[in-house]
Amino acid sequence: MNPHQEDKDFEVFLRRFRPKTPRALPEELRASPRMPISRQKQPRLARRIRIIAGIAALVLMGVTSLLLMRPRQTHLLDAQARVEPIPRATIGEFSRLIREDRSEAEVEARIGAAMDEISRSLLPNEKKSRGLLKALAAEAP
Amino acid sequence: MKDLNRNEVEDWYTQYGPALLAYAVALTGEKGAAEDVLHQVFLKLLEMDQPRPNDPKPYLFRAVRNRAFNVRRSASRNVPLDADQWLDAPTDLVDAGLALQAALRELPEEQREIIVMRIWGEMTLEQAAAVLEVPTNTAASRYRYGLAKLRNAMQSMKECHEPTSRG
Repeated sequence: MNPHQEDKDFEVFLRRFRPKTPRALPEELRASPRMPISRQKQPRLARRIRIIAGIAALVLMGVTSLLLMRPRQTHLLDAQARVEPIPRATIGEFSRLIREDRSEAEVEARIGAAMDEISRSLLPNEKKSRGLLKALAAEAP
Repeated sequence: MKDLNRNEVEDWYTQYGPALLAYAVALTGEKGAAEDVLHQVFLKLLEMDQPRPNDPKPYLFRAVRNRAFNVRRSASRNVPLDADQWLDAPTDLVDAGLALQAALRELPEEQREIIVMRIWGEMTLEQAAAVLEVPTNTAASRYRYGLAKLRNAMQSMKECHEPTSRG
């Protein structure tokens, strides 16, 4: 027999066998509305952008607050330095006044002035206050 | 170029599914894995907004081939062609069907795949060569050698079985 014809006959024989039908495509995917990939990706893309923007905002807020904290701390220290002047009237100073053999009235006046200075720096200024302290200051002789 | 629509993709599955299944079995070695490959290819077509190929059959065979190779690469073990029946035989040729599947398993892959494309995919040698990315002459010689081996194997099996069946 002609080999070419033999091949043809064998091909006909082979074609009597048919490949099985594959199982059906999953129903849920077949039923879902088909959408262009560009549109399907949009919500996912938008969500990613929102997450990245959120993270960026948090980082920015952190950096900003760190930057703002530094000058604020310096200002606080400056303000403290202004409202709490170190009083010159120390125990040592008082001892020196007594040892200098000054008059009792003078020592008393100096110590009183020093105490006024201390109290002014530690307590609220009764002259600037609008409340009870101002009223009390007015009653004082 | 016109975009693919859902009905077209499903029609292709119905029309080419069996041949593609045979081809995927020839490459993956397992009917279950072959069906998975087919599903992945078709579901991707359903999901994506793709231009319609001019000639869907070679396009689908190429897609199945690429997918099957990916699956095979990612598999941790070499899967031998299993004994699952993926061919329907006429009632008078049930034994021959089993023998044919066994003979196909023994063929080198490059011959097996072109036989499946030609016989059950009903593709021309030019189409098959394009899918395989080889010259048409190479495809033709693979087909010829494969067919000859298959015929010899079938003949040997027939001769082995006939004396037994006759008692």
